[in-house]
Amino acid sequence: MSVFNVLNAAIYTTLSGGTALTNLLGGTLVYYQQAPDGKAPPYLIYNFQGGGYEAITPRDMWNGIYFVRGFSPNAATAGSIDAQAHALLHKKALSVAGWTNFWLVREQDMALVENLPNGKKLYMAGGMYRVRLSA
Amino acid sequence: MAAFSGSALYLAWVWSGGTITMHGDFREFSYEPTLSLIESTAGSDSFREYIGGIGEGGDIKFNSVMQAAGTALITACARQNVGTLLVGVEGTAINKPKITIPAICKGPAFNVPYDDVVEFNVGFQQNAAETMGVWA
Repeated sequence: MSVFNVLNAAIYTTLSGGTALTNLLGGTLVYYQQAPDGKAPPYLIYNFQGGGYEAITPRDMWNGIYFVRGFSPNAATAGSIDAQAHALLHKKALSVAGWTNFWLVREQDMALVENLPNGKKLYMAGGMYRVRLSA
Repeated sequence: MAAFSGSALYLAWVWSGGTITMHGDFREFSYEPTLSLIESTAGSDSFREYIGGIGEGGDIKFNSVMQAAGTALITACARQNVGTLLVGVEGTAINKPKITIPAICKGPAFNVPYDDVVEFNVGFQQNAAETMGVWA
């Protein structure tokens, strides 16, 4: 069975259910792949980065990477968003319909700044999370 | 004729506690019977020669991904359990090879890496002649 919709839903439910995170964001500003056009930060974006099925036994298993990061005009706030996402995901178990999530670990940190056309800066802080599922 | 992968393996262990299928989470299975050989080299022979002796079952090895709370397989594969392995290397379709192997179990073994799946491994020793047939 395809994992995209069920896994995306599980990540969204976990992140949007984190009160400390949504307080930082000022609401459930958690988006898959990109924020709505014109949306003012802060917000959190997550996306599928790579991976796929592992054909190592007859049972379906899946192994992939999700990139989860916060955006803010302020570097410290972006870092705080990332810290809350980390607390919700790292070494936790997602509830994924039809699958068992037996491994969820942050593997890499990333941070950068974008210089926007309007002269402002947009800071990003986040991490790559490895997700492994067993059917 | 065509090559085929091991993905269709059927493996069942029939023992006094019942029958348990083992292929659901397998990663590798191997069976290598052998033969006792009687050396017959003599005189001016320039090369070692043998004649066939009695059959001898080799190691049977099974490697799988362990499932959470999977105690049934551990129980079935306890050391010294005696039973019969039913093997279908191409599955159980009619006329596909079927191997029936009387065996004794050597007991469960585990490989527990921190950052990868836990493996359940078990070895068997064949203790009587196997039967090579086909699935009906």
